[in-house]
Amino acid sequence: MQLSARSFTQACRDGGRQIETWLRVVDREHGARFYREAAAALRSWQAAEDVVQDAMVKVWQRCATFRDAGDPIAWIHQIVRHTLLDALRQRTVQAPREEPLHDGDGQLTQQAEAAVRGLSVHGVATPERALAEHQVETVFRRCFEEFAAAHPEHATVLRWVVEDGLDNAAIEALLERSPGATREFISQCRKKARPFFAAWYALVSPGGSAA
Amino acid sequence: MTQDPDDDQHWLDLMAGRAAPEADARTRREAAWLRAAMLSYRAAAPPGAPADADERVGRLLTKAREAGVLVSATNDAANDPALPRRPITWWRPALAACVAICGIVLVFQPAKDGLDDGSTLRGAPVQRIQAQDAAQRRQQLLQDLRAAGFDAKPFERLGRLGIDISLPVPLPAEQGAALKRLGLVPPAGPSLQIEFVVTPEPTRP
Repeated sequence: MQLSARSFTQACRDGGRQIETWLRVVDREHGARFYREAAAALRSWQAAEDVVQDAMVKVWQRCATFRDAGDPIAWIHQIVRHTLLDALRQRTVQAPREEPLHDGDGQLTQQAEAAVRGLSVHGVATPERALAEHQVETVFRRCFEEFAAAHPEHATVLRWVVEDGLDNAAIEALLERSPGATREFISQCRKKARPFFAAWYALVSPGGSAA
Repeated sequence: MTQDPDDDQHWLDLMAGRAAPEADARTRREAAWLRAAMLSYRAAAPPGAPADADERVGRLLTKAREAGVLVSATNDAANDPALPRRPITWWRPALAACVAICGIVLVFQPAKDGLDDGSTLRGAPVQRIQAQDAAQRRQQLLQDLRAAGFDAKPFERLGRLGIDISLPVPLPAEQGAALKRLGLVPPAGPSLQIEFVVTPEPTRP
C-alpha cells in the first residue's frame, strides 16, 4: 500500500477497512521511529506506546483537516510530536520540578553566563576536540537529564530544533501558539536551560578541566 | 544574556544549524557548544524495545474502535465483502433523505443566535461564515466553542481565518445541539472546519 496523500484522503473519506490498513502500515513502516522518539523523551516504552497510539487515533479524528498537497507522514509525525508535548506538559503539571535549589539568588545563572563569555570556538580547544573527553560527556548528559526532568517540553523542543532544524513556523505549529508566544517560548528555552548547563559550561570554558 | 529578543532568535537559528550573520560572538559560541554537544550526545531511548508488533497493533485497533474511528469488529462484519450482505432496509434511504432535507433547511434558514452579525452559513464539511470583522468573529466563536467543551483550534490559511473542530463519531446529541445553538450544522464526520469570509462594510448613502 502506498502511503500517499491521495490514499490518505481516500481512507479518511471511506473509513472502515482503509483506515485500519493505514493504521497497520504506518505502525509497521514508521512506528519504530515514532516509538523511539517518544520513549527517549518519556523514558518509558509503555508511556511511549500510549502517546503514539493516542496520536494515531487523533490523526483519524482530524483527518478531514489534512490538505492534499501535504505529506501525510509528516503530518502524522507532527501530531505524534504534539501529543508527546501534551503528555510532557501534563507530567510537569502533575509533578512540578523546581529550578536548581542552589540558584535561588541567581548565582548559578551568573556563573553560567561568565563561563559562556569565556567559551571559544578557535584554537586548540575546538568543540569537537574538547567534547571527546569522557568527563565532558558525562557532565553534559547529567545536565541535560536534569534540564529535561524540570522542563521536559522545553528540552524536547530544543532537541528537535537541533536535530531537525525546526524553524519558528514549525515550532508554532507544534505548540499551537501565536508567533509572539512562540518567540517567548524560545527565549524561555534559552533562559531555563542556562542554569542547568552551568557545570558543563564551566568545564568546557578556558580554565575548565576540559579546555 | 537574553536581553534582546533578536539575540534569542539568532541563538535559535544557530542551534538549528542555520546561519545568523548578525549574531554576536558570545551567542555564536554558546550555540556552537550546546549544539555540538546535543548532536554528539543524543539522548537515547531507555533500555528495552517497543512491544511485539502484533500485540501493539491489536491495542492500537482496540483504541481506534473505542474512539469511534473504526467500527467495532461485530459491526464491521456487516461491511466485510467476504460475508453475505444483508439487503438494504427501507429506512436507510429514508433516513438519508431526512438528513439531507434537515441540512438544506439549516443551511438556508435566516441567521440566528450565534450568527446575528449578518453572517451567512453554507454546507459541510467546510462551513463558511461571512463577517465584517473576521478576526473578532472567529475569536468570539472560538471562545463559545471552547466554553461548550469542543476541541477547537484556530488556523489561518491563504489569508483566510478559520477554526478546526475535532468531534467524536458518532456525535453525542448534546454536542450536536450545542453546535446548532452556535448556528453550525453538525457534521457526520470526525471534524468540522469553519472559514470566515470577510464581507465589505455597507456603503453609507
